[in-house]
Amino acid sequence: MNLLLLRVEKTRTQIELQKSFEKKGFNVKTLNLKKLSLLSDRKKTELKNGDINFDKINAVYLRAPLQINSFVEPLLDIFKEKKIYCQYKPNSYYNSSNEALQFNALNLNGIKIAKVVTFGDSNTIQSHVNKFEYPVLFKSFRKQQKSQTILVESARSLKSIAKSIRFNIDGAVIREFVEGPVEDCAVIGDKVFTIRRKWLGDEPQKLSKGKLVKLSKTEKETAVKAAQVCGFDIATVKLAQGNVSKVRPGISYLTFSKKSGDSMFDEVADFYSKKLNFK
Amino acid sequence: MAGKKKKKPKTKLLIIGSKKYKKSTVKMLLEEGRKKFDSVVFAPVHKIRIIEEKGESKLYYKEKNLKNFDIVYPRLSSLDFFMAEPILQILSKSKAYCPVSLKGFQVSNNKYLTIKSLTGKNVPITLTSLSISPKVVKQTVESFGFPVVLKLISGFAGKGVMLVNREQELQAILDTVHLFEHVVSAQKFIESKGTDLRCYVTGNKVITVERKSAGDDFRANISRGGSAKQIKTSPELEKIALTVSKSLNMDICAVDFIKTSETKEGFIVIEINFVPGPFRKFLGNKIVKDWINFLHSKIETA
Repeated sequence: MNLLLLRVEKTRTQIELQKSFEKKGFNVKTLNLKKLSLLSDRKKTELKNGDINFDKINAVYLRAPLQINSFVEPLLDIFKEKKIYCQYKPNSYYNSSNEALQFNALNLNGIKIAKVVTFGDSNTIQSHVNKFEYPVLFKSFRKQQKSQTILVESARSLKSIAKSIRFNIDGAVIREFVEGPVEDCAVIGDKVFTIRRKWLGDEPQKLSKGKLVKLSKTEKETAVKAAQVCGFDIATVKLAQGNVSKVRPGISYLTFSKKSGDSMFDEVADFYSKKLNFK
Repeated sequence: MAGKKKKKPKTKLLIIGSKKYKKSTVKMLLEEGRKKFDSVVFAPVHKIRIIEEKGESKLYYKEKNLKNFDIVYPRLSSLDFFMAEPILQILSKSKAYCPVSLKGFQVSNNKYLTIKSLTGKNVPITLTSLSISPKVVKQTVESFGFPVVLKLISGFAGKGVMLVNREQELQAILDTVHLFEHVVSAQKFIESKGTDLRCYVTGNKVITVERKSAGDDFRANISRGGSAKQIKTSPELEKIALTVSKSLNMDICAVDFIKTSETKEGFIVIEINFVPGPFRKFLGNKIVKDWINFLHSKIETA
């Protein structure tokens, strides 16, 4: 079984992951995404790299930032067409690059989320500040990147924040704030590892300071379903009182391994092995 | 005695415009729309609110519920990504008829994905690559040979398109591109002599316009000062334009071609336009009338 580790940078995580895949019997090759090009003509699309024969690749483990979604999305399409298994499905990167789209996908698929209102400009926010129950979490986005996150306590504060927006924003997401700890769930197929982080007034404590906890059956199902709705077999799902607040590709391997005492590298290799019926 | 005559329900059209919408196009849409529909509302996308709560997604413009319209025609550009994607997703699951799709929006705004989506469909396209490293772009361009067309994937309306004639030019461009961390698509250059064809697809109807570039510009975009005239649509062109629009679930769009002797059809597809301008200067309100008539014909299916 030939597996390709496709990444942008060589990191300790990638080295450990390679070892775990090899322990499971995978024949592992690694490739920097920057060395890859996609080539389309009238008849077909091909992946081009002098060192890799993609016809012999059965599975890919991909590590790529969301910022290069315009490169990753056609790549995920090609994996699907060539029947190469990848832990991320087509559209997953587009979906997660736009927080408003992700909340919509989660909500429409019956995943529990706190009330979210998306706005396209500052004036519209200002005329609706009285329609929220405070506190709320305000996030603005510019050039497809998050530019501001603020916990807002009152309508007056929200109005002054909206007024202070100087640049043209893509939009803003205002979410009713759910008080209490935040749970970061590492989802690997249907397995879930969770670290609970206390809320420290303005933000949650660091992941490395959090505590490993077990989720209820319902919360676990929510985390797995949220990852699947977003097109990820391996993902981090953030929960607050059972409400999903974010889903992103990949997991924090080192922190989760250290906190749980289980190797997340081995867990992922095991998941791939089972997914591909590889013994 | 004759029974009480059933009151005909009012027909409602919603047009969602880009945050940088063109006033003259909106004016024409509203004028033609009001001739056919009982009510026509225009909502600029950045003034819309999307409310996600308890499994339900709501769209509001001022205090109007935008899910109460029979027909919704979103005219959105790559500048509107943040709001456009969830709105198009919500519309796809609503009862209203919408002539465009989320997939169409995403594909038509990614110049490489546009070409890739057409491979294997017997649609004439030119050899196109996608890379994230200047070194790989350079290798690809060398294999294509000069001249070559470079497209920045975030580019829009021809502004991110560059014709590169020599290796020295390529290096200077790649240095700039690398600086801004763009994803780059390289395309084998097809000589078009500054003339291209735009096929307006409206349902199953195709209207073809021949466009000429201004001066020596290799791009024939009207927004860059070119000219245009309507020509007869050949059966081959019609077949390809409809294949392209249907593959993206788009009932209204434009498919851009350039003429070439390098394919048996005599043309290749270069771009799909999610929000085509109506060429008012050259075609008057012809295209807008077609759109409105088509949208009105969909009332019964909505």
